[in-house]
Amino acid sequence: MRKMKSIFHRLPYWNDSNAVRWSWIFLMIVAFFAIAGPFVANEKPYYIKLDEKKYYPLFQNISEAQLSQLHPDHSPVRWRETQFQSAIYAPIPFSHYSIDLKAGAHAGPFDAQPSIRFRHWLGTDPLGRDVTAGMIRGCRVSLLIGLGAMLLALLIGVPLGSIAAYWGNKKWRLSWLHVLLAGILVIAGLYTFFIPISIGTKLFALALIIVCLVVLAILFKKFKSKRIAIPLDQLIMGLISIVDSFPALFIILMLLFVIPVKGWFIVLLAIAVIRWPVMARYMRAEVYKMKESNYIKAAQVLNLRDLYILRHHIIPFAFRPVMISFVFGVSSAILAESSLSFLGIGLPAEELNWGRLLAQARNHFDSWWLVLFPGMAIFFTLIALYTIGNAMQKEPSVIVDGQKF
Amino acid sequence: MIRSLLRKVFYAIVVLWILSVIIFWLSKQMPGDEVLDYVSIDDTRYAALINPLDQRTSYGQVARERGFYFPGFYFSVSPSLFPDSVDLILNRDEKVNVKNWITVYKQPERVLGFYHLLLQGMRSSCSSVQTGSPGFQSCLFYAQSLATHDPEIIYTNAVAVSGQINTDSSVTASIREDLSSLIMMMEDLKKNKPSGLAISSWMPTIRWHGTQNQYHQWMRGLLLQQPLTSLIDGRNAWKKIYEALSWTLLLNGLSLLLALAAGIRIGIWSGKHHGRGSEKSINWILFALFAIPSFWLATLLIYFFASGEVIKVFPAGGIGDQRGDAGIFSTVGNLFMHLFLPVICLAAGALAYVSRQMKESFLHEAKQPYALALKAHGVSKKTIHRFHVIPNALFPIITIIGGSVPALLSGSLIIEVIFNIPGMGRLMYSSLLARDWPVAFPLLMMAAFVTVVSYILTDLIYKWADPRVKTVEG
Amino acid sequence: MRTKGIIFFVLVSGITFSFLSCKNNTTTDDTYAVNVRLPNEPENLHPMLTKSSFGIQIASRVLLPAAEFDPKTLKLSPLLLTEIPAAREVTEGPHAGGTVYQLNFRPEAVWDNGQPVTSADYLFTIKAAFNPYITGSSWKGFLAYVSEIKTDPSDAKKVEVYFDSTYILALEAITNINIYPSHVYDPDRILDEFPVEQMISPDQVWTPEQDTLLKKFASSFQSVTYFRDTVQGAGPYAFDSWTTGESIRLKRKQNWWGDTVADAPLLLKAYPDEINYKFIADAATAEAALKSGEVDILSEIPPADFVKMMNDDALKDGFEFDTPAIMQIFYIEINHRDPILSDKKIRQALAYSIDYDGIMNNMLAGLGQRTIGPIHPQRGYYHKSLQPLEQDLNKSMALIKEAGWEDTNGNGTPDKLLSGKREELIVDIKVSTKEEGQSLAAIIKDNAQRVGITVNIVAVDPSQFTQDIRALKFDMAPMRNRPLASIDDLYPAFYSTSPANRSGIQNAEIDEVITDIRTSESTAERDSNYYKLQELIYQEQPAIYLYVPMDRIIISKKYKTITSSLKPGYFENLFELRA
Repeated sequence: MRKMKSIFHRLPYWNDSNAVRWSWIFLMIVAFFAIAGPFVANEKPYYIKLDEKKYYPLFQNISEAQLSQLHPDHSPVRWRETQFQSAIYAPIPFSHYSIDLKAGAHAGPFDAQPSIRFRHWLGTDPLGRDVTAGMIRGCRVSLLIGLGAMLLALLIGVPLGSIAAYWGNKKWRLSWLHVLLAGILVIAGLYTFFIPISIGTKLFALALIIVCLVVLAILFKKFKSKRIAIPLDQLIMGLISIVDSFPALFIILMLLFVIPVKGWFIVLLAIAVIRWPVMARYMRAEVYKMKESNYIKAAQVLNLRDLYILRHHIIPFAFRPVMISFVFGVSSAILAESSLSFLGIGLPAEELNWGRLLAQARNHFDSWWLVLFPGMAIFFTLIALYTIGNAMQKEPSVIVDGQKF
Repeated sequence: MIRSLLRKVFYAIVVLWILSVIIFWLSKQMPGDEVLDYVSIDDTRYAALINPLDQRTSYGQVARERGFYFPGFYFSVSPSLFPDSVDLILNRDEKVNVKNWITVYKQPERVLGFYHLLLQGMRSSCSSVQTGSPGFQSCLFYAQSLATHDPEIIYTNAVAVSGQINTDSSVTASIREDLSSLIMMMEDLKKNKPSGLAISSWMPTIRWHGTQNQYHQWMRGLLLQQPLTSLIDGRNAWKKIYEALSWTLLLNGLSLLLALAAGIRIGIWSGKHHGRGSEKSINWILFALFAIPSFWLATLLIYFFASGEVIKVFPAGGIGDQRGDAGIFSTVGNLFMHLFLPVICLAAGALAYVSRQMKESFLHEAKQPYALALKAHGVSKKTIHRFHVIPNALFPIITIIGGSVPALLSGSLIIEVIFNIPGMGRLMYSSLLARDWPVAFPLLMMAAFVTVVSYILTDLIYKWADPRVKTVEG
Repeated sequence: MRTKGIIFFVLVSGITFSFLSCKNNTTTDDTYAVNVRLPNEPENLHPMLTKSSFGIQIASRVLLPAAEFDPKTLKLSPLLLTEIPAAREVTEGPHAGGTVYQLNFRPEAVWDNGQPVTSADYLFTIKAAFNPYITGSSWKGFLAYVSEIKTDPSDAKKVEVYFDSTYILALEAITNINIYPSHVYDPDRILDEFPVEQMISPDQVWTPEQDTLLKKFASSFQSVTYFRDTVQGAGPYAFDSWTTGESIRLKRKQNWWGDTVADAPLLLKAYPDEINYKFIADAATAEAALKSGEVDILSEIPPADFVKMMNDDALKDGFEFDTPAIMQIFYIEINHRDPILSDKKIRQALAYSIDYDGIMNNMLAGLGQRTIGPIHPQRGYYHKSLQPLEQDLNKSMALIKEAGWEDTNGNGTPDKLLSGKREELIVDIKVSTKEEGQSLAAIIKDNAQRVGITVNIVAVDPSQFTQDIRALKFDMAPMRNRPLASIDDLYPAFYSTSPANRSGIQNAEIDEVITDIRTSESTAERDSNYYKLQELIYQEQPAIYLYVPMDRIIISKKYKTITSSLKPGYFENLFELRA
């Protein structure tokens, strides 16, 4: 218990206020369902006993059809209908995809339902799918896409933003030799692109080329005649303004319509594409401010390597404001994901999650449970994230050189 | 000042140009055959056409008329292995297939000869026979072969079909000859297959196409506002866009006005009463409004006020009857009823944001030395607020307005979908869904253009309003 | 304070306006308007060119067809014609052995300008459909069997249409077409220069001058003007206005010729003075609009909603609920070119795995009927003694085993060696992003998984869906078939070498029976052939036949009217105000 407590206390801003504490607890619950979801809501029982034989369907991944083959007397085996000698079901004995047409479409939480054990506690959707199972699935999808997209955005945005600010337009100079080498390698990359080999091999070749580039860059470091300045800042800001000069939802729509595959990864990617510029801009602004401070100038005078300065003296301090935008970013990514699901774009059609459930309410307003529960889930997740983000914003920042950052 | 403005404009043009290339490229990456989308408009006969040759002719004609005959861009890069003429094959699938045959047999010129043999066989066998007759089989075979990726399958099919045809007396000799020469050619191709290819044949070569390309035509059409027809209903794309734009402007403009008017007042009020209990509770309500997803709010509002489950005050969607003869009163009343809920939904989030910004800005200004100095001079609090603090605190609102111009024009997709309002967001969505590029492309470009321009304008206005701000020239 | 005032003013004035507007709507004189809800907006009102069934529905009120199927008898009833022509055998002349139909236009029938509807207009319509640059889509296909059209110089109301070969849909093809007024749609009289026999001849070669003229006509005929500005015909209603995205309004003509016709057929009657078609895509919105009286008629209501509304006491008094059968058959198309699905046993296994009762009770809320094949149960020749399949998981699993599929590698999915490669029992089902198909696919996926077949749902946007189906890029796909009102021609979909044979079924017996049906002399012979065909299809299971739905129509009790199994199920011109 004490250990639990200490874990909680270690959460950022736990001690800030009650609101933050409640937010963390709510997010923890969502995270729990996201991780343990398949074990909480699953149509496959934990354990069954049939003809004196024991099975653990959920863990062994046995299907109904397989059991029917093994026990022809009981065929067809249905998880919820076959009379097992004994069985232990998951707390919610439905998966998010299990269609229960017998219980009926639009069964309300308080309606009379065929059995207590297999009751739909939060009702069902038009296909008789369990809303509880859908909600639990929604936790997983939302957190996965929200966190995943923002992590990806962070991974792209932070390095690009710091590079843009630190090296600016004039500081990064290359020798003719470097440019030449890089040119050759780019052509080599193009070449691999045209050879009819598998994508895997292509990626491997590409990785090889990148490694070569880095190695060469290090090898030729001593080559001093650096004349050509690469306007990194302008390049990166140009990239950002390309993404920025477009309504965000249009970009996502374009990407989702163009890419023929469907799945959470594509949605994640699309959201990351529109979110990274935000991260990069924040990072750029922070590093820009910090770069001018005396201690960085001192480090530069000491002739420390640029990467070392960035890594040890700038990014750790500039990171906190970026974390704030990360938290807000997660909330907007979750919002984007549920909006897309609400419109029925992106995720596979049979996927049931918060947005999808809410969308189903559109045509069936008498099913109030489809309006209430998923909407509340999205709403409270967003509120929790905003509360934490606000708490982070309020905290006095690191003070360096008498200046607040 | 002028210089920096010029520079910004220059950058904006470059960005827009890159964007147009990206959109064009993406539009070409869409799965499915673009020409077929146009075929269904230009030649609805196509669906009823039975003979593959007729289908092909119709396809080619439409492609030519619509300019798909041209190469895509100013230049193209492809391995030198593929001859120029491969790029001129109209059908996308066919192009990919021919390229695959070349990579399999590694004899570019002869594979092209084989391709032309297929085309010729199709022409002769499909034009002469009656639909459904035994000879039709060879016609179908040719059509299928052109759509086959793996040349081995073509070979097996060819052998099978020639077996069937040879026993049939109704088939003319020339068709049989065509088929046997095809089989011979394939055997020849297989026999002479070189074991490997010179590495140089994979070297990319760049081919220059000049201005006779699809991108160029497209951009020209866009810049000169040439009439474009929508693929969905054959209407003028510009007209569709301007109609949608007027709705979006009305809807978003109203909600922005509402959000600004209410948000500024609330912001100033809470700035003045900072820390009091009533301010805190208002703060909480605003916070909840900010966090509530607009589509949930919309669903809730419809549930409570429009669905009839609770009470029915407002219509659940649409824009009402828009005919001129209804009289000004009923038209405005109708509009009011239809736009009330969507405007509330759109304004709610913005209201919270505006009031929060306003409050922070107010508090910030109130703490400034000039306010203290005025206070020390004995100027009343009311005067300080009214004539000094509030005007200065209003500056960030410029940014908010500037930042919301893109949204004003691109519309809110989800609200427009839920409330069935034919605005820009929905137009964008439906035209992307139907791959209606003549509408989607100008729409996207317009959105980008407006966004870029609004950024520049905001910057300018800000500088004009508050001369302390200087551009960071990096 | 000022802002508060403004907000208050806006609120108050808005509410006052809306009340005023409510008052304006209620008119007290005896003219009345019927408001019809349509789920989609048609793209144009050009009956020959529109692809939307709503486009045809609306346009047919303005441009009357020569003959139309009667809502009650389901037989063709003459509208512009005096009677439905009978087929006469031709005994002499170039068409000896063929048939001829003589069409006589009603003497009363006139266009808006008072000119009579004549054979010239009929010819104009046919010629327009055959113009190579006009994309008369279905019309041209139907009319392709016409050999000659003769007019009588002495009688401008008379046309004779000759067929050399027997054609099952001959009568429908020549009479169930909307007749265009030539003076409106061809103001330059371009097509007058072209004789009809040249137009309908497939081998006609045009001179360059003629070609330009044809092109000129086509581009004007297919212009936006005729799509949505100028829509004129001999019908009871005149096109009034079109508000994009919102509504189309028709107004009844003042002195319509149909009023003078003695014992006119049902469809020549027109009661409402105004018809408003309102486009409301959303079912919930439409429902709300019905309750508030914004629309008077709702069709294609989602079944569950319909049942709910039917049990709603508040609605019972004001509305009439009707469920006529509609000519639609829902089925799962199966691509026989797929090596897994080419196996009859797997197709049957899939068919036996589906929870039909669940689908009927939930998706359709009981408002439908099972069917055994491509013939609608309403047909006289529907094979009643064949029982629709029921879910039988054991049988399904046995069939899979029989077909040689067994889980040999222990991954949970049965597998089998197919042409030397070990294939898993996985098939795709392609659906468009529409709710109905997706629900069906989700149910099939769930059901099939219980017998060991893995079904992957591939959802693509609607236009892609149509393209993919046409290009045969699918394993399975939920589809719906709309048979013609009169008779079924199964040649396109089932004949081995028919290009429209999407499933790719190759069965010599079926081919033979189809040919027999086409050439059957008597009704009895034809029906027995239909029985045989249904038995064959029942055995072969080329597709999974699911159900025929009933239409769900709610009509305001303000009106007296009829419903029918003909599309769209209701007839807005027959709405009579109750006293």
